[in-house]
Amino acid sequence: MTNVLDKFWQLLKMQFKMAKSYLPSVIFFSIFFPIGFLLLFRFVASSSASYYIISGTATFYVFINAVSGVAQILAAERNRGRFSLMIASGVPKELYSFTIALSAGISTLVVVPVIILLGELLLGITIPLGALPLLVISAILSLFSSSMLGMFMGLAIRSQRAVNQYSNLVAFVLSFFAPVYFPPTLVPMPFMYLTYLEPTTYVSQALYYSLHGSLLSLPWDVGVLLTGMLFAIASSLVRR
Amino acid sequence: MEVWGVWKSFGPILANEDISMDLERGEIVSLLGPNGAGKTTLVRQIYGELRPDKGRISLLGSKPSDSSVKERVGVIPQECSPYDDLSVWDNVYYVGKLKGVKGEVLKERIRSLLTGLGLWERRDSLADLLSGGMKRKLLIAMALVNDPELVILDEPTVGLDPESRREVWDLLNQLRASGKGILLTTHYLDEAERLSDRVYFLNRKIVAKGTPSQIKERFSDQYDVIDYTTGRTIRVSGDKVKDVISKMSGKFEVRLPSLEEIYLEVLSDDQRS
Repeated sequence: MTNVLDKFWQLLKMQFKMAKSYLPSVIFFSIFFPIGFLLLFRFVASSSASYYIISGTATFYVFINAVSGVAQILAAERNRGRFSLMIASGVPKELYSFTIALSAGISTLVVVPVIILLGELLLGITIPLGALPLLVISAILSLFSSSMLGMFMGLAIRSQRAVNQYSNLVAFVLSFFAPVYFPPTLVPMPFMYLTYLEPTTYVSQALYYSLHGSLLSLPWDVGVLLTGMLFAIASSLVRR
Repeated sequence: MEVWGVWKSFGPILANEDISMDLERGEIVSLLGPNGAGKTTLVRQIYGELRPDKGRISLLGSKPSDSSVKERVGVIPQECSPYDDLSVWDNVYYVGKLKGVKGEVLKERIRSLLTGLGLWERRDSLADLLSGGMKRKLLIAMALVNDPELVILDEPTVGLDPESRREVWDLLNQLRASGKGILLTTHYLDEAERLSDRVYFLNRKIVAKGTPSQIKERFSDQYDVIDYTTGRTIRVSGDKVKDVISKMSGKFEVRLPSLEEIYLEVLSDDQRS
């Protein structure tokens, strides 16, 4: 067990050291992406939708970044023979994939508070202090779910080019063909039921209720956790 | 290393058929075969990335999947590249850490390997900035950082210039002299002939095996006689060599066909059968 933890720690350090090379562009994107979205929605949406604008933008960012990031990194790693290199070095495939997913997830996690702070500044919303623990739970689970979806795509699709195309597409589709910027109840029947098949529905609702400090976020968190576990199980089946 | 009756298929494609081979300490054994002959599939089973459908593999007395055995083996997989966004030093350092090498021992080993492979001056450069040949050398350093007892190299000299190839050969010879067992796959027949104590010709199954000279002896009943006066090469059977050279007035050379020529002949026989 100590050996596995030590390997996990070394792999994480490796991933973060490599992240330094693209950190400036990530910081730039991380700040200007939410500013652009929040300003846009401020002009076109009513102020009553402000909380949904924030939860929707956070969901969109998390899925764009984590799903496509994890999927594309894993596909590239496979292509460059790094899985073989790691297995030969005694690192199980599962541990390696999980470390990549986690490090990409953590890099994304940093942006969620930025989006919330910008929301307070630009949209004038107030987040109660009691909302913080709920927000932390929702944000972490959201990253888990989106990273696991990215991991599934990165491992299941054979061609790297296809992974790149599909992962970008899936992140957009899941963000705009799901009730991310509005409640699921606004979706007409029977399509409303279909939205429950999309992980972004759970993520956005969990973040929305967390922003209010409402415990109603917890059932949605369970949904987020379950979708993440589903993708994790699917990934492990693919690896076999 | 011992391999007993290994079979491996991918769906309907049979990649390895009843392969048995072995490798002792202090020897270099080469796997030779055309593209698609199943060399890499076999190597991937030997270092534990794939499991055989049938048969058994033993590395240093353990199963290839045992994590403890990985700390005693060094591998360069095929078509593998170092981490471009890490420095040369960090690439070797982290693989060393993952293989359980620690502290000053690790640092000293990295220093010695990078110096020996001519990479010490580039230790702080990102791997991305290295040439293709230098990246191969870096992979070799990564494979050797744990001072392995068994070294598995899948085409380690691909993309290297002649001088760098020689450096790698010297390194492999040193490793053999220090008692390490080395399994090598290569497309360069001259490399296999120069380095190997034994070779296996693989074409899904093993079609020939032995020392390079045993294989030459077994498969050659003909000699090449090179007449340096005319520049002509005449292929003659053994009993006629004396007759041919007695008629030559200038300098000449008599040699057995190269391993490459035998390799091509053995493989074409196998494909015909």
